[in-house]
Amino acid sequence: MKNKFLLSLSALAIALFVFSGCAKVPQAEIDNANVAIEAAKTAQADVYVPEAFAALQDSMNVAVTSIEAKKSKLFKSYKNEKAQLINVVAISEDVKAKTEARINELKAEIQQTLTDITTIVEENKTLITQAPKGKGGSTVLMAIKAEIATIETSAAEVQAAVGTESFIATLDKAKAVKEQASNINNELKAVIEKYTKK
Amino acid sequence: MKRPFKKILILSPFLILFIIVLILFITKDKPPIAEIKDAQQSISQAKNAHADKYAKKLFKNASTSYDIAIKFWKEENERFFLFRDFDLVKEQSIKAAKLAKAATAEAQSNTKNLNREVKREIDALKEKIDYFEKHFDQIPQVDAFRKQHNKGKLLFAEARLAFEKSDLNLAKLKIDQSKKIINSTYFQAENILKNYFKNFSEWQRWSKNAISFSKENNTYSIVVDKFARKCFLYYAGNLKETFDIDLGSNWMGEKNQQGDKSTPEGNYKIIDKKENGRSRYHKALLINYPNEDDLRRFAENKRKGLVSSNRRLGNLIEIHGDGGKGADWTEGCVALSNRDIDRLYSKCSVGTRVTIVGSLRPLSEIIN
Repeated sequence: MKNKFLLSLSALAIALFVFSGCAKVPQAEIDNANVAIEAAKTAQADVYVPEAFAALQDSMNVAVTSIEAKKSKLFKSYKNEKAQLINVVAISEDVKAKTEARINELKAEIQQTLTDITTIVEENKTLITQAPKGKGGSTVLMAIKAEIATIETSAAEVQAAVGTESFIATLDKAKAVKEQASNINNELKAVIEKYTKK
Repeated sequence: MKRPFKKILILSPFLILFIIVLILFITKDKPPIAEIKDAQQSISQAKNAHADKYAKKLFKNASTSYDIAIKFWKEENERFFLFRDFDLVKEQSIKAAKLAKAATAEAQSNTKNLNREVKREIDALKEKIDYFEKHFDQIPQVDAFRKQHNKGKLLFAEARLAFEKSDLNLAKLKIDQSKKIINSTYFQAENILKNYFKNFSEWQRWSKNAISFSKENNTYSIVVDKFARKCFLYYAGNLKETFDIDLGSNWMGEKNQQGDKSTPEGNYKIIDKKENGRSRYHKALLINYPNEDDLRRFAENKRKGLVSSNRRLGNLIEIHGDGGKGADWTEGCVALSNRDIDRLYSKCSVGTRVTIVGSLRPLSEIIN
């Protein structure tokens, strides 16, 4: 009878221990999630995939809130939070991969834009030589020549800037240069067409 | 009866303690989870509204309050539950939510205002660039600062692309940089024009005289407006025809010497009509350049050392055909399209007055 009583008492103590104290904060999972988020940030996810990175941070905040809420409970289990944190790690890796993909996409787009600029500038130079005799000395043509020179200098600056600043900023500059080169191209074609019609 | 009583006696303190702990736990203040979630959601919404860019201070304060709330919460959770106090956590969470909501509102308002401001500045600068290209691009002296102007144009293109991507801060930065350059080159070009237009009252007098002469003598008079690239034909004081013209590449200002590709300004008359191979162009009306005024000014310039003593003034200034190219390509002559020179040629004769002026419209009218 004495044994039975001691057994009951032990069972109660174990139950209390199990339901209140034994559930440990998933520190290892928290640390892993933080490391994964930091890795995504180091890959510049906040710059290249800002929305995905913000969603990732939100997921981590939800997990942290949930853990802290559980800490305040008498009977706690961190099973769901562990799953959330494992998911945060998976999302981080996905965000990091997306960042790398976006950077490669931007690099390719920059190179393509620079190639396009070179092609257009070369065409513009040819178009200038096709301009009829007499027009070479015109101030309008001089203005166009000066603009082509500025475009070439700017394209070289863009090429030099690749990797030294955000690829987004470099691409924006390249696009602006290409737009100017295309404007000149259209302008020259229009002038030549007008001239040859006469 | 003795043994169960003993058991109860031993068990009861545990049970009572357990019940007390349970009651205390249930009745104790709970962490402000709803407030924290509200703060979290509000910050997330603020971020979506780009408050981190367009309401920086409020967003930063909201984030700081949220971080403090979480820090306090973690610290309180480390304490024994009876000693936990979540008042500060609640206070900071509410503050964070409030600041985040204010940041969202401010970001939306700032975005709207900045969008309007940048759009207005882009439109204004586009107008200025177009104006520059329409009126100043043809000014030969502009070459000196054209490179600078082109840099401004590139920055303008970057500003427009950033605006299209809704990156308003970058668009504003680029438009400000562009504006500074474009305004500077615009100012320089405008000054060149202002200097050029110093002779405007004289040009006005010349053109009035030419029209009066046409009226008084029931004859044709030609008035050439270099700035507008127009040639006007008057008869008996009435405007009969208007033609587009091309000029010399260095058209601005008076002709000072042979080969300067400048178109002279002054009062002339037709001294010869050339066709059938007598002109290298499709028909030509030769004018009496240089006239007495040109010769006097040339001599004075030589005396002042403005023109080298071995230079000549040149001649053979014509109104001829093969023009209509929309560019200034002549050696100083006035070129019309072949169709237009045919019409002008048929109406003018040797002796017809030809008045060439810088502009018939005042600079204020042109600039505005």
